[in-house]
Amino acid sequence: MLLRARVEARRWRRRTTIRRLLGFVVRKGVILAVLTAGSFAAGTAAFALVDEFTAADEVNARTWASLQLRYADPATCRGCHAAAVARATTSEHRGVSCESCHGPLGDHSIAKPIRAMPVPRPAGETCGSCHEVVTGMPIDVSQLEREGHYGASACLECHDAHSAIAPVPPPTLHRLERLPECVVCHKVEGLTAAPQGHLSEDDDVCLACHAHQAVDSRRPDVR
Amino acid sequence: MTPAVSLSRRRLLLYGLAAVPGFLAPRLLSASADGGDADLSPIELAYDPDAHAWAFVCDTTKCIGCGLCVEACKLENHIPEVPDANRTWVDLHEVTESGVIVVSRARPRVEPPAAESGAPGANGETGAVTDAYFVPRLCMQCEDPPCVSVCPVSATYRTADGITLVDESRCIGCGYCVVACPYGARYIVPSGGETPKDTPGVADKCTFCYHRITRGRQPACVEVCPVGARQLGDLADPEDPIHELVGRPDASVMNAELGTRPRVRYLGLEAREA
Repeated sequence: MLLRARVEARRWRRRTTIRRLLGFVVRKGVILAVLTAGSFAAGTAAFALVDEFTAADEVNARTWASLQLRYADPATCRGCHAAAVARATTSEHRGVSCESCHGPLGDHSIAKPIRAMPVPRPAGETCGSCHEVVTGMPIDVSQLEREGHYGASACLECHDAHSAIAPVPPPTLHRLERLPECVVCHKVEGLTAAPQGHLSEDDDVCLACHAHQAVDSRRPDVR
Repeated sequence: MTPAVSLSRRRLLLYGLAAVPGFLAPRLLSASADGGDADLSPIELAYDPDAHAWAFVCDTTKCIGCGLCVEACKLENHIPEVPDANRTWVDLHEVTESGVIVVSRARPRVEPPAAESGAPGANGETGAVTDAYFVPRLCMQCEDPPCVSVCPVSATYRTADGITLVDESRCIGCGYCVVACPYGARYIVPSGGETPKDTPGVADKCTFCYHRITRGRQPACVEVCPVGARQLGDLADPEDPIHELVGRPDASVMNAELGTRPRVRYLGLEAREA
């Protein structure tokens, strides 16, 4: 008897709760609609702000990643200039990129019509940026005083720009035929006798080939 | 004595409860309709920052101080043609008889060496120069970057692949990072002339050419170096030759004592500085 009454009471309570809630929803419909719309707007703004803060780094990193390229690589150059690239990559100059001397490929290929791409500086300056004598250079890099190397003539008069190879200068008919044998003075251990009968020591003609001896020891053919 | 408009506790809670679904709806809707990456180009989509860990090796035994890297960096990244605005540069270290190392900026291209004019005591009170070598300089991409810690507006951040970048839209140009960087790798972009991203007045720094490495290319400085003194590698790739260089006994980081844990290693530097 008591149990039944309790179940009844619970059922009644549940029914009234649902009825009250429904009543509340119907009565406050307008308020609820406004409330939902307002909270939706607030939610949109709040989450946009959160997104902006958490994703800002990623978004910005993508803008850095999508910048325009200007430099390419020798493989790209080979597409059109196979012969020159081959000469460079099979020589002492292998490892030197085309763009090291010629500048960025982007300036060449993006321009319409295609802009010629010579070395942007005089050849002497271009070669000099690696081969001029400078304090701090590793010893295994070919360095020379340009003034002393064949009288500062333009590098490309003798050297192939890509392979860097220069033909051996032709044998010169010297004006010194009546001199004694070279070995009379120039012994293995060095100069042993004072110069006799040589032309003046600062003769430009002589120095054009012989002044660089001390620097360019890799040219045993010129003494 | 009840007020004309009353709001009971129960009612307030009910209203609050009713507002929750509306507030959460935008997040739930955007999550269900996530097309997120639709506006990205295929290049950006193909690159996964979590799959890379970039590292850089500078070989001081190879560098010839030609400055081609400095020039290429300026062209590639639209760095202003001002001598002090550089993402990368080359230092000349001259070790003197007394053990003092005189550091000066290496010549720009073939102009006369800056060392002779700018280095006080290079050949004077510290004695004759016994050793000289070039040290390529760039951002160390520290794993614990001081520049990121000091930024008051969180404009500078570190990507998952290990590159510290600057968000030019958040940067206020205060310059804290410029002085915080122990390697001098940052500068404030001067106005006038070309600038990276067309944003003068903000901090700028080396990005390892982020637009190049994310496309599988080498940084511009690495590309043009005629002697291979600069190399980039991916520590996340076990096949990458960078592991061999990084593991060499003569490899070291600059100012290890600072605890910044640089991602740039130097070959042959420590032995010559000792």
